[in-house]
Amino acid sequence: MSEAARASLRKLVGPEATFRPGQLEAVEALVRGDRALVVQRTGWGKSAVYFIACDLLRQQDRGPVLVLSPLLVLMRNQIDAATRLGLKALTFNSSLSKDERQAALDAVHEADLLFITPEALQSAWFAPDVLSRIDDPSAVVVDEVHCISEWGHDFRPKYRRIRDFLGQLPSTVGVLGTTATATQRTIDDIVEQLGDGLTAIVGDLVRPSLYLHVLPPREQPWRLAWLERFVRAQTGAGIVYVLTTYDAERVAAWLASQGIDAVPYTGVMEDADRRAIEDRLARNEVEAVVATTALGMGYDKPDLTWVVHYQTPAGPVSYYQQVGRAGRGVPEATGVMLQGPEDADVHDWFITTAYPTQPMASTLLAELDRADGGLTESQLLAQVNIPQGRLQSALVILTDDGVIERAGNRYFRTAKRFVYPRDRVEAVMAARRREYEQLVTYARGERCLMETLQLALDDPTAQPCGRCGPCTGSALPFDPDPAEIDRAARFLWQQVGLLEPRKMWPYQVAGLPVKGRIPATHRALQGRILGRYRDGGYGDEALACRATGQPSDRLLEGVAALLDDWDVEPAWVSWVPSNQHDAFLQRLAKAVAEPLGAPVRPSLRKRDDAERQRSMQNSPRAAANAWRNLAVIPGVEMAGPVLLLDDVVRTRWTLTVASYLLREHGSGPILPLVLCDVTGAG
Amino acid sequence: MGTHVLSAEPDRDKHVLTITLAARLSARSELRPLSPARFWTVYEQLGGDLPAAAESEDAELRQLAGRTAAAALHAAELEGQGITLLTPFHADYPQRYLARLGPATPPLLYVAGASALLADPDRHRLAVVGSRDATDAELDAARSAAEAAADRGWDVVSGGAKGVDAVALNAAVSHGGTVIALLTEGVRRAMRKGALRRLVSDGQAVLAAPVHPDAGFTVGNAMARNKLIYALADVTYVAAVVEGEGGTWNGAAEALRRGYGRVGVNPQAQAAGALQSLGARPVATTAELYEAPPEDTGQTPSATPVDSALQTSLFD
Repeated sequence: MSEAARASLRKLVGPEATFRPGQLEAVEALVRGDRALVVQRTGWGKSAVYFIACDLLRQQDRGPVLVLSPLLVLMRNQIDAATRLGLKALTFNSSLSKDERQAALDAVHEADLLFITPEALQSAWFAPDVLSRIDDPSAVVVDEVHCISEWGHDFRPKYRRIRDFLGQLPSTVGVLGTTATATQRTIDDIVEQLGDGLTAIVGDLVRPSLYLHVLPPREQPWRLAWLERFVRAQTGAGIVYVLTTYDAERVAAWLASQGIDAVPYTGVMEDADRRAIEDRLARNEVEAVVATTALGMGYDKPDLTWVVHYQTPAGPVSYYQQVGRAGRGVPEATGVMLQGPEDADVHDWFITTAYPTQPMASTLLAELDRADGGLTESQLLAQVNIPQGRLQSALVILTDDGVIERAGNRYFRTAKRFVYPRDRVEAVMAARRREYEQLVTYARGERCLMETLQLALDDPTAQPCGRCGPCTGSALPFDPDPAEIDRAARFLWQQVGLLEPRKMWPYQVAGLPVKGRIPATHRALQGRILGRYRDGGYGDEALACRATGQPSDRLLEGVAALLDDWDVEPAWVSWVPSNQHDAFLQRLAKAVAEPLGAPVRPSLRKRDDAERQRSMQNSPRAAANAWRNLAVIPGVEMAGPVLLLDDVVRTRWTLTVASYLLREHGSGPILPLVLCDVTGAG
Repeated sequence: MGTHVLSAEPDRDKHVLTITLAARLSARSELRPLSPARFWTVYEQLGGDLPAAAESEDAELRQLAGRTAAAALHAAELEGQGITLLTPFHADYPQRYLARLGPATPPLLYVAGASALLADPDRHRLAVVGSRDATDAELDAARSAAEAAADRGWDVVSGGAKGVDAVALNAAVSHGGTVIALLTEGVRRAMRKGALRRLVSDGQAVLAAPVHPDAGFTVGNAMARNKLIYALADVTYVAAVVEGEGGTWNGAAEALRRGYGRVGVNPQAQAAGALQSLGARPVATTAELYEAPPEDTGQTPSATPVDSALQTSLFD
């Protein structure tokens, strides 16, 4: 077979082409119907392995090769590469339009390679629509196979089903797992899961083109100013990695405000928009893409010359993968890791909320077990005190675990036994914390950075690289001056948010006498939010003032500037009452009303024994609680538009109920102004 | 295939290929999976080499055999949810079916709950059956029989329907027994209703059906299912039966004719006399079910461990 494989390589790549050590071995295993694992850095030629194997299998009249890959970006690059080699490659994934999918279905019978996402593989349409049109696949490739392991840095529950799927295939179907990055523990786990007689081909991880640097922790204005200087000094496009969608939008907005062509890239964006940004980045039509990990594994832009982390990433493997986007096809590339005081908290939240807690899982399963005929997400939400986001993620995880199933829009308990995997959850959390700590150590820069990364990834060939900051003793020349830091700080203080009124009451809630659409006459107008939790600006200032009970001059200046810009003329000012912070709100209302020349009138009261709104974990509960606790004070003059102040906003239900009640009692239009958006704060 | 006795050993690839050939993979699929009779014919024609079906001259068979990836997805989804796919090449499959049902042996069973119970050689099984429109007295008889079985540590085999089935199931469970319910609808569909699922999760019931896990009730499914009840049991108790009518009569008559273990009948049942003339034994008290003399159980001459265990219990 080796001769045929070499012939195929020469045919596909060129007359001079030869295999790298390990490639031929993997090709042969796959064609024989064996199982193989390839752990090699990006650029080693993992896809060549399955391209050649595919060519050989097709020559033997065997079926197409199925490539499971978690990322669309990767697929698009791979399909281009396969097509250049003369293989017919197609993709099926959720981002295809109806026409694109039909075109793929029409052509699928002659495809050599099918690239599909794990989600598509498990969808109801994949077997009847796609598999029924093709010959039985002769081999299955699992790209980014570390996702199969909970010890992998990027475990995905959807991969659990892939493991079950591989276990149900006849022994004649070859299986190849590939990854660029896996620790020894992850490799061991993958070997165990992929099964007997697995050939493992593991290579070294050193990247001779990468010049790594770290900087000590700094506040946000400093980092923004540094970033601006750094990006300006670069000749090519690069990626700034941040931890959250909000960070991505804000950092991109900062760079854009300084005249740099920067765009955010996050998981909440539409696929088409993401694709457009990838294309612009590939063509160097943008200076910086500020991305969350949504721009993840597999994105291949060989001439990418820099990657900056605005915050500490999750661990050495994530960092290695992300920084490894740079310098693939260029001799020199820079990777810089910045850190902020907020990083540890954000990671702690990611780590502790990755898996549903035991009470959460038990509550959900008990509700579903009690229900004859299943429950919808809305019904569950009304029955359990779990925030909607966490409920949704728990439903996904428990569905992937197989302990619940979804049919139509209802969830059902399944036959599978559930024992809360406490040991596993704790062990994985501990591993994640260790990984984060490893990066904190890395960031001290006490030894070679590349070597530290390689060691963390169990690469036995690790040795000092001679290029990084610690090896050369050199620092990057981008430290900002005080004026620049001040400009960035002012930017952070000017992030006014819009507050959209809620339009629908929650579904099926005990204790809520209203339902369905909220009439436009009873809604608030679009409101304003001065700051945000942990924004390094007015959000933090507002919470600090609230704690002292006294609005500061700085805070009042912020409100005044916001009102100037908002261009509204309230006839009177009021506030949403609070049992903890009523005095603060009253002072605030007074101070805000004075320059407007508008009277301050208390208009709502709150029950003394009210349960705190923040203990209400989801929408239906928060709505019912607000309804229970608020009432209009009789006899208040309410003509004309009212500026309605509140300290914080989380679910918007308090404001929704307050606006409804005021409108019901004859108030003029409601203009809500909130000091601090605490969505997502603990 | 005539009187040829089928047999099977656990074998991973045969198991996987059997699922590929015998499973209905989707509601929209135009391909009809192999019926039991056709499956066993193909099995014999291929000399047991099921993977060779992929190169068969029969285009439809070839097409069915070319669904291994789709079948693997089907199996992975269900196994991931705690539904076991049993084929004769799986260790938990009750080999008794091959001996008793021959070519009517279902090549594929979907099981929710402890599938090992179906083939456990150390356990005894009493089937309690009866027509849907049983009288109160007949329901009482079913209840006593199921309670007595549970008290003796026997599993009760039932159909999971209303009437006698439900009474027997609840009686066995309330006496701490275990029920094997062979359903006329898909096991996942049945579990969604809740009551049966709670019994499964408490380990008090095992649900099994040869049809797709989401399939609804059909008369055809019900007819094919009845023999699975009788053929799984060591002893069958007929609590209510009407001569010449319905699944109970046909099933009991078939069990007697083919010798699927012993059959006892409630003397008050309408067709008790008629069943007696076919070889059923009138059972006035539940104890008599277990005290009956050993008869031809329809087994091959070398008795299975189930039968020897049964005989021991008859005389202790």
